[in-house]
Amino acid sequence: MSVSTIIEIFQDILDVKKGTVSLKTTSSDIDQWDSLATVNIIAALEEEFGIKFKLEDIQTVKTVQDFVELVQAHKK
Amino acid sequence: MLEVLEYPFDVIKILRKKKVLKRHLIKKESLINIKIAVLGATTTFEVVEQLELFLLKAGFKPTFYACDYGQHYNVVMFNDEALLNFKPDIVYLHVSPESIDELNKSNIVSKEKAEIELNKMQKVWEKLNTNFNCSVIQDNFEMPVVRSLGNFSLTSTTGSFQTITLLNQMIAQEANKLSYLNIIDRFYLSSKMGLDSWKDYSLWLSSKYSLSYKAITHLSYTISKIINSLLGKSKKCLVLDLDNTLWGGIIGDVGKEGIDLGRDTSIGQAYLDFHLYIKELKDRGIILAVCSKNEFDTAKSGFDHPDSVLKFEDFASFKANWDPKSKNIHEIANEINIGLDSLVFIDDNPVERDIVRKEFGSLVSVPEIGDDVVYYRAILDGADLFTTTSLSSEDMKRNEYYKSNQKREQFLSTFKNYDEYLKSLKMKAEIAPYKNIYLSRISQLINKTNQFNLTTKRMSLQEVEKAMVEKNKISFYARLIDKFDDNGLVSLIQGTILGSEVEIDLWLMSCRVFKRTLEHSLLYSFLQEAKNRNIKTVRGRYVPTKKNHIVSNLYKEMGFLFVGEKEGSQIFEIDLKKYSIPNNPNIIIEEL
Repeated sequence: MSVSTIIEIFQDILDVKKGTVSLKTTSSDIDQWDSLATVNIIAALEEEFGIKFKLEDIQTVKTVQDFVELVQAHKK
Repeated sequence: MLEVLEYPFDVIKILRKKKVLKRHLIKKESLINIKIAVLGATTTFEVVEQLELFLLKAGFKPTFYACDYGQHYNVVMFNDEALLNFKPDIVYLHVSPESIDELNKSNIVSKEKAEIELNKMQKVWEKLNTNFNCSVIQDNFEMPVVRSLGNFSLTSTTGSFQTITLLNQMIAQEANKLSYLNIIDRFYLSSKMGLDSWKDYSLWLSSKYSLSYKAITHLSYTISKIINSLLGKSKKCLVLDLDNTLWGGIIGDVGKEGIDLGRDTSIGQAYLDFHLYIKELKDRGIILAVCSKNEFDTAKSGFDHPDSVLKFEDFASFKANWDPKSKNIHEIANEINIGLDSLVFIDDNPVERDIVRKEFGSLVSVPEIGDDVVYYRAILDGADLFTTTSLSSEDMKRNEYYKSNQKREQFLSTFKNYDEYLKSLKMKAEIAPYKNIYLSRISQLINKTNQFNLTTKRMSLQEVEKAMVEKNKISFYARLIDKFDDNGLVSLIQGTILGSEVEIDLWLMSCRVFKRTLEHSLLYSFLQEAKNRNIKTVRGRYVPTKKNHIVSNLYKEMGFLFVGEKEGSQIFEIDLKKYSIPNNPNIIIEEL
């Protein structure tokens, strides 16, 4: 698991240029990042890393960093 | 990049790269516009996004109307204005077990639950058909994942098993009755994937999706295939490699006796099963061809193997030589007289697959079947390239037609001139107004014919039905029989009368009867009918496309005068008062 892969996934799905997404980015920073995009991101992360997030965890994530930590917690 | 959209799909790439894929696909030339209303009992956002990709890849440019989830009945029954103004060509109803209100009530028997649900659906279908005269596509139902009755849910008369089974049967029967209704077999798709993968409960809780993302990909693909079929873009011909595709081993090295085929070995059994599957495709009307790097006689001898289900005669075209496969594929398409976009190419060699993809782009389908015979059949089947929404008896006979064409060609070579040949064919045609029994064949011809087609006007089955009863229409079909074969219903002409004029808005003929002068007979019958109805002027239009060059001079050849161009069409006219309708000496017109 690499942080850069996760950032790439965000960039692909939100359809933004490289460098737009950082660990600090939240949904309010990018117009296209609505609730449906979040669902899409979660599905892509789950498929990519072969994991399944807990519903309550998904509801508390805000920043890209939060997603990274969530993936890391599952990969342990 | 686009191969991620080929079955069995790269779901993660699709999820990530949707936006890039769309930007890439939308650049394609001559995409066909199509309006689709997606009415969901549950969330449809992702279904629309993925369906759009599959349709773009197939050559369509869809625009969508989508209602809020759960509003699927209301927007139809209470005439939602946006939907009315949208005027969809196709409506897709996205339903699921979650949308069946009474599914888990224990005080109603299953049969009644199914009837209540069916009744609701019937009203929606009818209303859609009246309002829009469009095709309707609807899901049937997968089994619910949880069953409080456990295994007993199977036998319980109020249980979900019986409710879903009955409902699915009823829907299938309705689809048989209603020509405009087409069912997506979610029940099969979910069984194939397994319910645990098909559903994603947390996605349901968070976003009201009735399916997992992976399932959405498979479902959207199937919807796109149905739409392909409705618009006549399904594949027609399977082009097969031989060595390590239809049998194990290189026949040039090991000879007919040495190839692996038949029940004696497990690998041989797999090739045999693949033969049987291909034979089934042939029996339902898919044309077969061989494209192999081999000596012709050696290749042919493989089909004399005692365990070979497929025989040399099963192939409408047989190319075994050392030319590049792309050249042979061009020749196969020419010989059978179908478009390259009707072909599916099967080869175990990834290099050959790649060359064919590069040469033909997305025209020729090249499933990623790999090089292990164990998976050939499943991958070809899953790719669902020959989807149909109805099987006409013409489909079942198609291979025979092409075989008879070969006989005719051999016969032709024995004649001094073409006229003599035409006379010797002893052709008879039946030309008559459209009849109900031919409806499915008529609509199939309208939606599939590309070459001999003056206007390439497409019509749904319902539109044909409507045109049949309208008094201001003249519509004739032609069936053709010759000494070799009954060619079936092969040509259509349709005109709309306005005052003392009639405009031919559709005129087409199947490629299997090109150059038989049937077009003369059909036009003469049409002109005679126009004369009988006191029509003075007959107007024809030629709308040029990439594929219909063959008829670019037809109106001139038939004695029409070119009167000008209008919106990309060439307009031709004939003055019936000054025109005496000739007789075609080559074809006898009678009731067959």
